[in-house]
Amino acid sequence: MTANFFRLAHWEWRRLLAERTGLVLTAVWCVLLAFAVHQGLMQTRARHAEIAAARTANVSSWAAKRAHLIEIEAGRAQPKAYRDPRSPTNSISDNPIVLEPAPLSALAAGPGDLAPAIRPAGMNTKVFLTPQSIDNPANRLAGPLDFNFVVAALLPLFVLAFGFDVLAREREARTMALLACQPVALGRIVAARFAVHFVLLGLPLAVSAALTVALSQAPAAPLAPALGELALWLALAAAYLVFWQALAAWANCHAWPAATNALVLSGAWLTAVLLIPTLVQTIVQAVAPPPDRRAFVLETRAIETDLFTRADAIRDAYYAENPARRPAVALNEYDTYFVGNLYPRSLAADAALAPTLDRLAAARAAQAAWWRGLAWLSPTLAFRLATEQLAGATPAQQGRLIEHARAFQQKWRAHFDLPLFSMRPLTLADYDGKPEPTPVRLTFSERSTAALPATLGLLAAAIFAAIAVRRTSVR
Amino acid sequence: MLWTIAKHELRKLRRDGRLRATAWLGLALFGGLVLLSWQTYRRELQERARFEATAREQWDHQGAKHPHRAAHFGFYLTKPELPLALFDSGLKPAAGQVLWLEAHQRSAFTHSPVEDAGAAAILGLTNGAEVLQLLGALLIVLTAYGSIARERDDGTLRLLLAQGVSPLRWFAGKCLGLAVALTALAAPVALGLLALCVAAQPGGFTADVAWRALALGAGHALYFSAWLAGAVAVSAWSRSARGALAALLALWIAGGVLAPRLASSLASSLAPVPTLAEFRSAQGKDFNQGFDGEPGWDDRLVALERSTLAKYGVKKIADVPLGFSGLRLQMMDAWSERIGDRHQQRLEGIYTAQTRWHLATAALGPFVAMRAFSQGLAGMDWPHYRHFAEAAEQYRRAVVASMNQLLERKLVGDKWEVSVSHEVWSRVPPFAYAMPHAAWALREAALPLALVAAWLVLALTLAWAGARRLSPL
Repeated sequence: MTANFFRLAHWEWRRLLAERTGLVLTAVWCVLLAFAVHQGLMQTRARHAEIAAARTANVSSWAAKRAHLIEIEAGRAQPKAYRDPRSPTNSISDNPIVLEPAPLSALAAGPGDLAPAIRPAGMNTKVFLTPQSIDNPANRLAGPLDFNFVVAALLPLFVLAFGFDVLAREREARTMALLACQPVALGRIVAARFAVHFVLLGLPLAVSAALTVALSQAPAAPLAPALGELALWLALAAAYLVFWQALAAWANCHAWPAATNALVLSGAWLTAVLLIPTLVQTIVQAVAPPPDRRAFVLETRAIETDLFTRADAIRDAYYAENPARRPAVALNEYDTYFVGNLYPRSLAADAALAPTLDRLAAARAAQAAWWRGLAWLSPTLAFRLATEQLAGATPAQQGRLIEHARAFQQKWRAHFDLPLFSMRPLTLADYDGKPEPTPVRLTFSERSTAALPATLGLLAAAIFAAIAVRRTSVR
Repeated sequence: MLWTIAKHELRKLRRDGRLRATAWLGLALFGGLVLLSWQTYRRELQERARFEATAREQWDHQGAKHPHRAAHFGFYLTKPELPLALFDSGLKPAAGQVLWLEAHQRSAFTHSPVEDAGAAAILGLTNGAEVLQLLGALLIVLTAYGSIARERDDGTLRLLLAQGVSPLRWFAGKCLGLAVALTALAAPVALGLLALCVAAQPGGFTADVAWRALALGAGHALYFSAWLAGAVAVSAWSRSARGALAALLALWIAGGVLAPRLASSLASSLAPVPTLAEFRSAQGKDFNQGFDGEPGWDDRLVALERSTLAKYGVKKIADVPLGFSGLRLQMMDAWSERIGDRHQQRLEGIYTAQTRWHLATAALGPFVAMRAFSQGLAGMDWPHYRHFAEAAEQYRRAVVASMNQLLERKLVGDKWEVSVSHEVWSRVPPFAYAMPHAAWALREAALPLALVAAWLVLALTLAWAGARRLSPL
C-alpha cells in the first residue's frame, strides 16, 4: 500500500520535472524564501546591534563616572562643572529598557519593525511615550518581504499553481476514465500528488525558516527552546498549507475545467488574503476605533501645564510629606529646576496621567480583542495573528516593555530619590547598589497563550477543509 | 463596424455573471472603505481644528516662566489634510500625526496609528485608492483576458477573419467595448467620490483641490488604460484563454501584491536608514567636535565669550550689559540648526534613494507607480509630509530665536533666572501653513506618472503588434 503511494508520488515528481513548470515554481518559491531569510536576519541582527550599543553606552557611561568618582575620592582628580560624578543629578540620566527579540522574531520581521525594542527609563522619563522614529514611513507602510508575508500571502498561490488542475488535467486530456479503472482509489492518487507538492513547498520552507531562526538568535541564547518554537511555527505553516491544498483538492473533485478551478481558487485566495483582512480592518476601525492620539497629547499637556503652574505647591507638599528629602544645601539654578521643580512634578504627573494611560491601554485591548475574535474569518488572518503573537510582535505584547520600564523607574526612583532630593553627594555605595536594567523576555507560555485562539482557528480550518474534501466524491 | 463589434463585446460582458459579481464585490468594498474614510475625515477635521486651537491656547496660557522653558514647552502641530485624503490616506497609517516643536532640535512626526494597532493597521488594503487600483485592475484582467484568446479557443476567430473583418478594426472594437463597459462602471464611482470629497469639507474643496482631483482622475485613466491595453495584448498573444489568464494574474500578483513588499525590502537593504540612536549620536558628535574643520561647541563657546568681552570692553561675563545666556543659546541653536540641516539632508538623501528603489519595482507592474502618484496628488506622500515639517521647522527656529532674544533683553551678565509673564506668549505669531499647489504636487509625482505612462505605451505597442499578427491559430 505504502509502496503504491510512493510510486504514485514518483510519477507526479517525474511529471513536474518533465513539464518544467514545477521546477520554475519551486525556483521562484526558493528565491522568495531567500529574500525572507535575508530580511529576517537583517532585521534581527540590526536589532541585536541596537540593543548591544544602547547597553554598552549605558554601562560605559556609568563605569566612567564611577572611575572618576574613585579618582576624586582618592584626591587624584578634580570634579568639573556639570560633570561631577558625585552630583545626585547624575541619576536623572536614562537607562535603556530592552525587549529581547523572541526566538521567532526573525520570522515576523515586519510587525517587529513597527515598535521600538528599547525604551528609556530614568527619574523624569515619560516612559509611556513612544520614542521618535526616523524610519521611512513608506517602508513601514508596505512592510518587508518577510516569512510572515511570504507564507501568509504567497504560499497559497504556489499551492494553487501546483494543484489547480491535479485532476482537471486528466479530464481535459480524456485520461480520467483510464485513471478511474486502475486498482487505486482516485483519492489516493490525489493525495500522492499533493504530497509531492507539499514536500516541494514545505521542505525549502522548513529549511529556510530553521536557518533563519538558528542564525538570528542572540550569541549567548540557547538554541533548544528556539527549535521547539520553530516546530510549532512549522506546524502552523503545515496546517495552513494543508488548508489550501484541501481547497484545491475540493475544486478538483468537481467536474470543472482547469480554468474554472483556477478562477475559483484565485477568488478564494483574494477573499482570504485581501478582502477579509480589509473587511475585518474596516469593522475593527468602526467598532473599536483607535485611541485619539491628538486628544491624548492635549490631555497630557493640560495635566503638565496645570502641574507646572502649581509646581511650588507640589514641591512644598512633597517636602511636608518627606521632610528627610528637603535639601540640606542651597540649590543652584540648574538644581532648583531639575530637583526642586521637575522631579516632584514628574511624580505628580505619573499619578495624574494614570487614568488617561489606562484609557489608551483599554482602547488598544479592545482593538486586539476584536482582531482575535474576527481572525477566525480567514485562515490567512489566523496564521498571521498566531505567528505575530508567537514572535511577540503585537502592540499588546509591546505593552509589556512599557510596564517593565515603569517598574524599573520605580526601583530607580526608590534608590536615588533620597540623595537627589536632599542633594546628598553620591557615593560608591550608591553607584554599586543602583538597580541594573534587566531585559523583558516574553516567555513561550505568554506568547503561545496569546496565540492560542488564532492557532486553534487555523487548525480547525485545516481539519474542516480536509474532512470536507474526504466527504466530497469525485465527479 | 467598430461600434457593432464594441456592442457585441458589451453584450457578452453584460451576460457574464462572474464579472457582475466581481464588480459588485469591488464596489461594495470600495464604497465601504470610502464611506468609513469620509466619516473618519469629518471627525478628524474637527479633531484637528480643536487640537490646533487648544494647543495654541495651552501655549498662550502656559503661565509665567523662563523663556527657555517656554521654548522647551514648545508647540504641537498636526499636518492638515485635503479632502482627497479620504480617497487616498497615503502614508497616514505609518507616519506620525503630530509634530512637537521645541528648543535645540528638529522634530520627527510621532503618534502614528501603527503604534496602537501594530501590523493589523496595515494588514489589508488601507484605503479606497488601493481597493480601486488593485481590484479595478483585477476586474479588467477578468474582463479582458478572454477577449481575443477565447475567440481563438472557440474557433470563432477563424470565422471572423474569413469574413474579411480587418484584424486591427476588430481589435479596436473589442477595446472600445471593454473601455465603454469600464467607463460606465467607473463614472458613477468617480462622481460619487467627488461628491463625498466636496461634502466632507465644502470650504476645503478649492480650485487647487479640483485640479488635483482632475489630475488624479487623469492618472487613473492612464493606469486603467494601461491594464486594459495590456490585458487585451496578452489575450492576443496567448495561445489560449487559460494561458492569458495565468499570465495576467501573475502580472497582477507580481505588480500589486509582491512589488510593494519587494520595494520595501530592497529599499531598506540597499539604502538603510540609521537607527535613531546612531542619528542622534552622529549629531552629538558633530556638535561637540565640529565637522569639515570647523570647531566644536566648547571652542565656539570660548570664542563667543572672548568676542563678547572684547565687544563690550569688560573683563567678566557678569559685567556684560545684556543677557549672555541669550547670546549663548542663540549661538547654540544656530550651530544645532546647521548640524540638524546637514544630517536631515543626509536622511532625506537616503529617503530619496529608497523612493527610487520603490519605483524600480514598477518594472513588475504599474501599481507601485500609480500608488505613489495617487498619494502625491492626494497630499499624503512623503514630499507633502516633508513640506509641512520644513515649514514647521522654520517656525520653530523663529519662535526659539525670539525666546533667546528675550533672554538677551531681560537679563544682564551671566544671570539665568528670569520669569516672563504670559502676555509675551500670545505675542508669538500663530503657525500659518499653506499646502503646496497642485502644480508642485504634479512636479513631485512626475516620475511615477511617467512610469504609468511608460506602461501604457508598452501595453499599446504590444496590443498593436498583437493585432497585426492576429491569426486564428
